Amino acid sequence: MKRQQLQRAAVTAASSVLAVFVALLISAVILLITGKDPVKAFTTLFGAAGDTRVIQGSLNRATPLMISAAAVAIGFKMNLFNIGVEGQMRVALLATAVVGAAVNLPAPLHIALCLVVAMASGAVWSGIAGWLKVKRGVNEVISTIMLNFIALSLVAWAFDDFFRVESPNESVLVKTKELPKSAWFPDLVDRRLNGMLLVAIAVLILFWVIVWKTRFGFRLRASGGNPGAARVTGVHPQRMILISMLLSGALAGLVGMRALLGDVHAYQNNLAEQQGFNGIAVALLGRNHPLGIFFSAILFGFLGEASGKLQLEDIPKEIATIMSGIIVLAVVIINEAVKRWDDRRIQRKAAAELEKVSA
Amino acid sequence: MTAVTAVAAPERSGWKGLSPARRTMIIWLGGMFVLSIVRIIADADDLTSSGTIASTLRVATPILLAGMAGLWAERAGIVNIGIEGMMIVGSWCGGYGAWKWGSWAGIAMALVAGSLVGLLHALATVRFNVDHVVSGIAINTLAAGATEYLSIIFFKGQKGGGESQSPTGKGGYGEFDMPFLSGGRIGSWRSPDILGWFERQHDLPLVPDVAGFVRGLTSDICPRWSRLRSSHSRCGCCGARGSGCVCVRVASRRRPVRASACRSTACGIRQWP
Repeated sequence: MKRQQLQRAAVTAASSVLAVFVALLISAVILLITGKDPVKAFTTLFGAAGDTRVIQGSLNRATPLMISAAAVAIGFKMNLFNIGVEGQMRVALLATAVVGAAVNLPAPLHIALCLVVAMASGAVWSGIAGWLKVKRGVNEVISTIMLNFIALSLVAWAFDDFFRVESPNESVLVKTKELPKSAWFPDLVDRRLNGMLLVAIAVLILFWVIVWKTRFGFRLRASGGNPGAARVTGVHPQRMILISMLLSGALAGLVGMRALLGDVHAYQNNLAEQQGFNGIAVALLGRNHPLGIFFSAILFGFLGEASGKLQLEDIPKEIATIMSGIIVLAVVIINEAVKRWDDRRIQRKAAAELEKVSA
Repeated sequence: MTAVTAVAAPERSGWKGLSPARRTMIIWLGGMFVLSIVRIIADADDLTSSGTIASTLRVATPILLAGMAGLWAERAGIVNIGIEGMMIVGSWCGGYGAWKWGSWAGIAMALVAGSLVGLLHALATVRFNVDHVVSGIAINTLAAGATEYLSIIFFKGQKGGGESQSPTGKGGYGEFDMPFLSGGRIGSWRSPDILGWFERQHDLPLVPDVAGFVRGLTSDICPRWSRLRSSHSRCGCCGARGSGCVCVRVASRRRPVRASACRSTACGIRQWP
C-alpha cells in the first residue's frame, strides 16, 4: 500500500516537473520565433534566483497567491469552482480599509480586527453565491463570475462616492483614509518582505489539517470524489456547499491584506489587482495540495519578480505571463495524459496477475 | 364557414383580442412614447437620437458575437470560459492583418486565430479530458500574456502603434446609409435625409424618437474606419494592463465634471479635463 502511494506521488511530481520543462521548451520556441535569444532569456530569468532581493520579492509576491490558491483549492476539493476570489477580495479590501481606519486599538488587536473584518466580508460575498447554489441551484461558476463584476463596480463606486479622500494633487492616486500605525502588519525584512507570509503559511498548514485530518475535511473530499456516495453515507451536500463557499470567501478576504496592511495602508483601486485570478492558476499548478500550492506560488511570485530583469535584456517581460499560462495548460494536459498511462500500466499489471492465477 | 371560424377563434375583446404582432407594436410604441416624454421633460435630445441608437448597436455587436461564441460551445457541451482569450488573440491578429494587408485580411486572420485558440481548448478538453473551466482560465492567462508580448515586439515603435494597440489598419469596410431614409448616396447623388428631418423636430412627441430609432438602424451602417485596436488595452490613465481595464468617461456624484477614469479594475487616477 505504502509503495503504491509513493509511486503515485512520484508520478504526480514527475508529471509536474515534466510540464514545467515542456512549458520552458514552448516558451523557448516562442522566443526563437520572435527573434529573441532563449538561452539569454532563461539565464537572466533563473540567474536572478541567486539574488537575495529577488528572493525576498518573490516570497512577498507569493504571499497573496498562497492564500488565494488555498481559497480556490478548498472549493476544488469538493468540485466547487470559486472563480469569485477576485471580487470577494475587493469587497474585503474596501471593508477592511474603512473599518480599520475608523477604529483605534492597540497594535495586535487592531491587526486581528482587520483580519477578522476581511474574512467576514469576504465570506459574506461568497456566501451569496453559496446561498444561490443551495437555494436556487445556480451554477457557482456563473454566479461567482457575475458577482466579480458586481463587486468590482460596487466597490469602485462606493470608494469613489463615499470613502475616497481628496488629495491636493489631482493626478495623484486617490486613496481612502490611511490606516493608523497600529494596523500596519510588521515587515520581516524592512520594506522587502512582509510578515503576512507567515499568515499565508499558517493558512496552508491549517488548510492541510482541516482537509486531511478532520471529519469535515473527509466529508469535503468525499463530496468532491463521489457526491452520490457521500450523500448516502449521511453527508449533507447543501450544508457542505455553503460551508466550503464561506470558508473559501473568508480566505479570499485575506488575499489582499498583504497589500493593504503591509504595504499601502489604504485602499486604492488597483490594490492587489488580479491576485484572485492568479490564485486559480496557482491552485491548479499546486494540484490543490498545500505543499504544491506553496511551491507553485513561489514559482509564480518568482516569475513575476524576475521578469523585470528581462527588460534590461530587451526581452518583453510579458514572456513570464505567457510562461505561467503555458505551465498551467501543460500541467493539466500532461497530468491527464500521465494519469491515463498510469491507469493503463496498472490495468496491464492486474491483467498479467490474473492470467498467472488462472493459468 | 362562418360558424367554423367562430368556433376556432372565440371572440375576445381588448388586449387579448389583438394579434401578437399588434401587441408587440403597441408595446414598442408605448415604450417610445415614454422615452419621448422623458426626452422632452429632461430636455435631453440625445436620449433617442440616431447616434445613440447607432452606438448602442455598435457597442452591442462584440457582446453579441461573444454571446454567440458561448452559445456555440455550450451547444456542443463544452463550457467555454476561454472566450476572452480567444477574443483577444483574434483581435490582435485582426489588428495585425489589417495593418499589413488590409481590413478584410484582418477579419480573415481574426477568424483563423480565434478558431486556432478554440482548437487548443478542444485539444485540452476533448482529447485530454481536462476540466473545461481549468483549460479556459489557462487560455485566458496565456492569451493575455501572448498579445501583450507580441504587441511589444510587433506594434511598439510603429507609426500609430504601441504596446496596447495596433497601427491603423489599411482600407475600411465602406460606408453605407440607406438612401432616402437616412440620406445615403445613390451613385454620386446624395438622396434627401428624410428621417433626419423628422428627427430634428424636437418639439413634437414621439415623431423624432421613432425617426431617430429607425435612422439609427439605417444610417452609418459601416462606420468610418477608425482604428482596429487589439482589445487587450492598457488603461490610458494608470497604465495598468488588464483585459477588464477600460477607460471610460464617468461623472462622479461628488464632482459633476466629466472625468476620465478607469472603471472595472479601476486605477483611481483621474484626469480632469
